[in-house]
Amino acid sequence: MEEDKTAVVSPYLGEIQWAHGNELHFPAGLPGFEKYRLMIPVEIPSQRPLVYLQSAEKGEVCFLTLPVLAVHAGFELHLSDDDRSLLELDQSMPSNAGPPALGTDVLCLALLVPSGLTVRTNLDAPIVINLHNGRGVQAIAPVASAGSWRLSEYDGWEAVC
Amino acid sequence: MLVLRRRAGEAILVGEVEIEIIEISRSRVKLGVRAPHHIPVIRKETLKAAQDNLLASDLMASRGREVVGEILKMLKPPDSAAAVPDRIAGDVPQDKPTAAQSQVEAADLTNRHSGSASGCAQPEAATRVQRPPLGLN
Repeated sequence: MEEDKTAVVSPYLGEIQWAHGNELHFPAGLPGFEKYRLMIPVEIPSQRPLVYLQSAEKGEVCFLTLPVLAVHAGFELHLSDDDRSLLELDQSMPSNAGPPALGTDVLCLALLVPSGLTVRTNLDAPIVINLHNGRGVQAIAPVASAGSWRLSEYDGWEAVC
Repeated sequence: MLVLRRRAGEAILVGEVEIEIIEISRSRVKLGVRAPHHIPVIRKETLKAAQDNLLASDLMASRGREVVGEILKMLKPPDSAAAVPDRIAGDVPQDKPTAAQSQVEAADLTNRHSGSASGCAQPEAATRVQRPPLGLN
């Protein structure tokens, strides 16, 4: 039996199809885009490690992201209780109340923002996806720690003072 | 600044917005907010993220393909610990998709529990181009 497919047409990525129910669910949306709750991660091998986050509800809403460790290898995730709750992390990993493991429990993506002729990203506001249940949130740290990083033509990613 | 003292269970009104003190612990206060739908209620620290997100979305809408090319030139070869693992990527035969011409399909998300030791595994919503994109340039 053919799978129940859903599709969205993205001006940049073209038509994207996925099996119904396979979307990532952002219960609070993303700041500035609160009404869009369903996102599809799109990866193109030749463009690795870039990952597109495409809204499943509106084709025009698409973000360019990178795994945080591709920006800063020393990145450490700090989640508020509210964000843990939105991600339902405690239900997903009840035996471990500590921080979720990157890559095993959660995927962390750094959202790329234009900055002059290049891009920057705020690692204090990563997009965190619970790999156990597909729920996502933009986890904004109340106090800056990992900071902002800017992509330099010659030096790769640099912390912005 | 107006300063009010309130106990748990009490509330204040700011115009048509009601803010109730739900719980007070040693270092935190849990608030409940009742506001009309047209009044956004956000944590203050999310304001900057919202502004960045709007810029980020505009980036893709206005000059996405150009920007991606530039970024890829600037990125150093991905560190193996940070690269997205192959196992979650679908079979994408073409380098680039193109607007309304490529057909990309998300893979089945039946096994979300498997992660990667790389530290940046993706959910199994990997994508694959079902038909080769046409005429990119």
